[in-house]
Amino acid sequence: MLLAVTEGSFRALMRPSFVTSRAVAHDRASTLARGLLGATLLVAGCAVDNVGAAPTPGELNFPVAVAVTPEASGRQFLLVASSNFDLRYNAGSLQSYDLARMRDAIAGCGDPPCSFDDARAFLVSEVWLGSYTTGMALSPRGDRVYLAVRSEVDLSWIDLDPMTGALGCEGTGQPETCAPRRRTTEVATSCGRTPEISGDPVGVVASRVSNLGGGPSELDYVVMVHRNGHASLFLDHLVEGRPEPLLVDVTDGLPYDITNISFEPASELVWTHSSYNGARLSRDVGFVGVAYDEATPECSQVVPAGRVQLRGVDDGFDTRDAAFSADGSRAYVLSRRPEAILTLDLANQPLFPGEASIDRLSHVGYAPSRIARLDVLGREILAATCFDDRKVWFVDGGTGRTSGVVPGFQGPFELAVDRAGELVWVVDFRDSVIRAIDYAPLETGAEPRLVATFGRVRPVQVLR
Amino acid sequence: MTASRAASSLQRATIALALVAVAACAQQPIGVSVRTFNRPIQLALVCLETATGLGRSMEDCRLDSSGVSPPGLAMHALVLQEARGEVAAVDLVARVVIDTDPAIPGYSFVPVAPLPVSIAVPTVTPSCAFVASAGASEIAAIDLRSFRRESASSAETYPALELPSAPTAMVLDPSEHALWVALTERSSVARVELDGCAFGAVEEIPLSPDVPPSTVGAASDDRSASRFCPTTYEPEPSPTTSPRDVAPLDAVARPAVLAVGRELLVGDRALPIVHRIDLETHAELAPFSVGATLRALAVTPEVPSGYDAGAYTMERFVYAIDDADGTVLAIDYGDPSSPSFGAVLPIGAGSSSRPDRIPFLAGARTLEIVRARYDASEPFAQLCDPASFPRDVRAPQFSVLRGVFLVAGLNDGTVRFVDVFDSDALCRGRIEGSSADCSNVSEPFVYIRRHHPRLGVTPSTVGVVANDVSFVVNGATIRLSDSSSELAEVSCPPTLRPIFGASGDGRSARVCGHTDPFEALPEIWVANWQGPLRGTQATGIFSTLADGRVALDSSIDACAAGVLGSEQAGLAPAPERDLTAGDVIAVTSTLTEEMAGDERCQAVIGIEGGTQSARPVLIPIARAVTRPDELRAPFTSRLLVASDAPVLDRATPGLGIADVVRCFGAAAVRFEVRVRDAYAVTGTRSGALHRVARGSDGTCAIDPSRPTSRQSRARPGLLFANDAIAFEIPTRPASDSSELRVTIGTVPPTLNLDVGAASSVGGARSLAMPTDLLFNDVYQRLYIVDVERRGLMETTMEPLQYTQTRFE
Repeated sequence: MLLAVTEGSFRALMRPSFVTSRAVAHDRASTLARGLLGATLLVAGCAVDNVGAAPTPGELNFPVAVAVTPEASGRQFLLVASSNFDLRYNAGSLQSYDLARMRDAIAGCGDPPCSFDDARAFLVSEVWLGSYTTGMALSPRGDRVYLAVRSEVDLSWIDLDPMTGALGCEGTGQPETCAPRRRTTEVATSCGRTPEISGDPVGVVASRVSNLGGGPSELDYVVMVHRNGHASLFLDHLVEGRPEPLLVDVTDGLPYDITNISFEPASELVWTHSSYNGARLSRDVGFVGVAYDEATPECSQVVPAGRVQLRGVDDGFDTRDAAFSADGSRAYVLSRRPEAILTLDLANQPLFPGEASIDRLSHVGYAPSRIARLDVLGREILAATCFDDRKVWFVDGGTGRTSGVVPGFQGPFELAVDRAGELVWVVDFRDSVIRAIDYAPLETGAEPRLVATFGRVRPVQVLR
Repeated sequence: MTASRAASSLQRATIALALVAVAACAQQPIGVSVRTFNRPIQLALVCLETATGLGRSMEDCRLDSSGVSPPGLAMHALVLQEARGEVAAVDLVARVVIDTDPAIPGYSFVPVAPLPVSIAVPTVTPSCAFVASAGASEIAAIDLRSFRRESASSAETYPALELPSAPTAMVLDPSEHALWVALTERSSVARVELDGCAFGAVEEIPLSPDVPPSTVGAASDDRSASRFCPTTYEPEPSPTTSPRDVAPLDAVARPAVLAVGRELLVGDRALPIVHRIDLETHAELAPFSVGATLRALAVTPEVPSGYDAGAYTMERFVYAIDDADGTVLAIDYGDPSSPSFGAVLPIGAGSSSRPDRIPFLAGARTLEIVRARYDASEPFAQLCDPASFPRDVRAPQFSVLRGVFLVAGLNDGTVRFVDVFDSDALCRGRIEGSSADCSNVSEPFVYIRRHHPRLGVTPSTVGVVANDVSFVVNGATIRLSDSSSELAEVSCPPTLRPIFGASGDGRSARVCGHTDPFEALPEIWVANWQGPLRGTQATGIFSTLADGRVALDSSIDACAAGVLGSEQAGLAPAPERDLTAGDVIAVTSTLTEEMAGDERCQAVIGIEGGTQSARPVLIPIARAVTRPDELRAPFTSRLLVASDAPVLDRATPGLGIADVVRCFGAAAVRFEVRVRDAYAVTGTRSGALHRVARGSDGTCAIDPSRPTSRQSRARPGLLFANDAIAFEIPTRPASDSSELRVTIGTVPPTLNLDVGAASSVGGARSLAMPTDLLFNDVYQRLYIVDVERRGLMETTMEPLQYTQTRFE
């Protein structure tokens, strides 16, 4: 298999596809890239035919994404994707944990925080996939997990049994190593175009096509956004009666240097968040929408849907995530410049056209990374992981005041709200563990608290 | 296949690690400054004996005439650290952050309960600092000896006072024998008696949820509290404003901020009122209905109504931050018998859409009142006499602050100043001893106006001039002269003044604009022939509706952008009915590969009659609709085109919307909305002003209730006038690529401190978010807390500048 460097990522030249083969033309750049890589390999002195070490089953290795599955027959699961950031193994992983047992363990913890070093005791299922997962989305049906995976430059799609938590991806071995066709997607060519994915994927969202006027269907649409300002649209199509994602369109024209995306369900718009890049400064938050073609779904399109500038703050050049109020009237944009939650008024026109209407700034800790909204007795509370601060901050969305600062992390990153358990699950990237915060104390005005760590702490000195 | 994938992954892994290793060898170590503060949010000042840590009266720390602190005493700043739940002490004389326990690595501060929200320290007989913490719903009394290493071991501990709910704000009663605490969740305030460091009786006072009609003050000529050079300068009058009708966000009071004036003032984050509690009887008085929920309050001392010591009354003001958007309002807090007592005052600057707000271009976070060398009992004692300037201060100028000023920390990382009573006003612009007013050539122009931002430069011109007026035609710039015929001479509307090509009558000019520095914005106005409306550049999809019309659906907000279809333009009142017959869609996409060879489609995109380059496809809009029921996500607007609509500006006969739909199909097209047969007038800061609003059915139409001065379409031969600029272009342009550019570049900036630039080591600027301000009368200094990186900073007033140390 030949390799070429594109947009700072590695891409397989011959990509498997069941509809069309997405071959990337040889060009001078790829030739040069191969030469450079060859030279590097010589320097590194590596045995390139070595398949590498397989991950240790049940182990977390730089977890980057977490989600709570919707309840199905009274059962829920915690999904955790490990990125294999240090490339210690030859694959990343997706694991599902039995949420009820984890909650029970926390409930039985007499003196929190408790540590449950052997997370395998709660593990239900695991599959292995490409390294460098950057985003995860759960199908609204609850039976599929979509992952944006940098090493694949494509969408990986994993089946989930919502009642048992079993993961499957047509792979072999135990845990399963996902089949290649589950680590890439087919390409629709019937609409007179051959979309081609470009750029490092940085995030993925999934929603129902019925929300776009697609009739009473349970099929999904998935938008994956790339660092280089591109977006890819996947639509479910039925193969032997089962939905499978199909790449139907790509677009460019989004802001550059995208690091993450968020999804505003009321408008079905994907928000893009770009990081500070000294060469390209942008205060823009961009939007991506999907124009669904009900008659010929494969002709549906993903389109840039505008952008707004963040002005009147110091300095608006780096945002990382967003959460949205339940009524869709406010957006809570997590910013690194400044390190704050920016409350945006989505209901009223801004004083200056084209600029976001920023009502309030609420400071959080150093290097905020991800945000999620909780609803506590009618109040909107925002939980923000702050990577360099090694804490999770809780801010009242209505007042902008700090509601809690929870320490005890080394590298808090992605988080998921477990409403039934009144817990916030946080993946700790630096320690490769899952941690749980009990947010029930917010109901009485007290601070949330760290109550449990799942997994054996494996600190990585280089990231400290 | 799996194995090869795995091998591929390993190959990539190896390569990546090799590259990382190579890169790492080449990198220099990154210097990281060690910070002791972690999210400082508020400060209090206290005078301490350095040997014993015992508190002394604030006055005891007053500096001598040489600026030296009394021996053995030092002013200390106590700074709340929100993230760690600590109080840090800073010795402002030794200029060090105090590490209370050097045996512990790193800086140790005094721990308090989680989420400290407020700190208060008595100024006369201090023995404890009181810290309210939301995380434990308590007030702690901390022995002041805890803050100095020498005395920490002898500090007493006191039991904390448990509160029935989390405190959100706390202030000291003027008697210093009680604390007032806001209990948001209980819709009340509590008064806590103090006996030294011990807590006494607690009285809870419920707050009424009643909201009377909001009131606004009458427009007034505030010339007596203003000063302008030259004396002929006429500021624009304060406008008449209307009360804001703000619905309560809750059925009960939610006290959030406190300030002490004649009474305890309580800002509410749910009700648009300021509660008032009598400090003696603790009874609730009639609230101020201000039409805004609030997040900060600041109360001025009494100040004279003007600078004439022979004819004045005493006035007082409350400033507040509107919690909805961070804007700052001024409330009359002077004579209780005045009809405007408690009313929001008109200010009228910056943006005509917010005449009842101080014109900051960023939201405010915190307020403070500076009382620099000001004594309300002798307000004119320090008033500068033009005949004899004071010898112990810097010469009067914009950066020397003596008097009363509002200070606001803004979201943009700056601290701004607002004139209330400038003790130097009468000396500004003068030469000492000269009988001639406005005679100082080094400060020839002075603008001081109450409730208006203090200007931060000595401007070289009066007001604003259009220092660059030009036409750009086909890329070539033609700079216009005062008498250029490309612009007609017009009579300026009443709210605008000549700024370019003024005639002798003082009212006519080629370009009119604001000459008031508080009204003008530095920006470039562009009148672009058949140009785009800002906010309409997007991607959309054509579809043919059942009635034969064609829709272009997109995610723009057409009404907010001011789009008018021909149907609504035909129904529009003056002046719009004379300015537009409806806007056009301009499609800028190229043809798909499939249609690229189609000759008629080529004509649609402008490749016809020997023209080889594509041109935008212009299609008249019949109706613009925002958020119609039939539109599905993610689209928000629909531009409707008549079934027989033509493609404009094409030689090929009969090209119409049907051709456009055929050529582009259902592919997403890039487009913008442009004005037709007119110039689109847009300010780089103000944007396109218009009166278009979304009707009940979603149709974008003129809202006649909006001011007619909100315009963005200029027709040749007609006067164009909006809120900020007026001109007339007499003829249609010879070229479609034609635009008028008027640069408003001489607006004096307001006085500000860039908090991120405060540096004692010459380092680079860092991001800033000022979160607390405190003026200290004894030191005559302003203290700024930056929650982001700068920590605590200190500024002098004469002149306004940072001292050499910051504490972070």
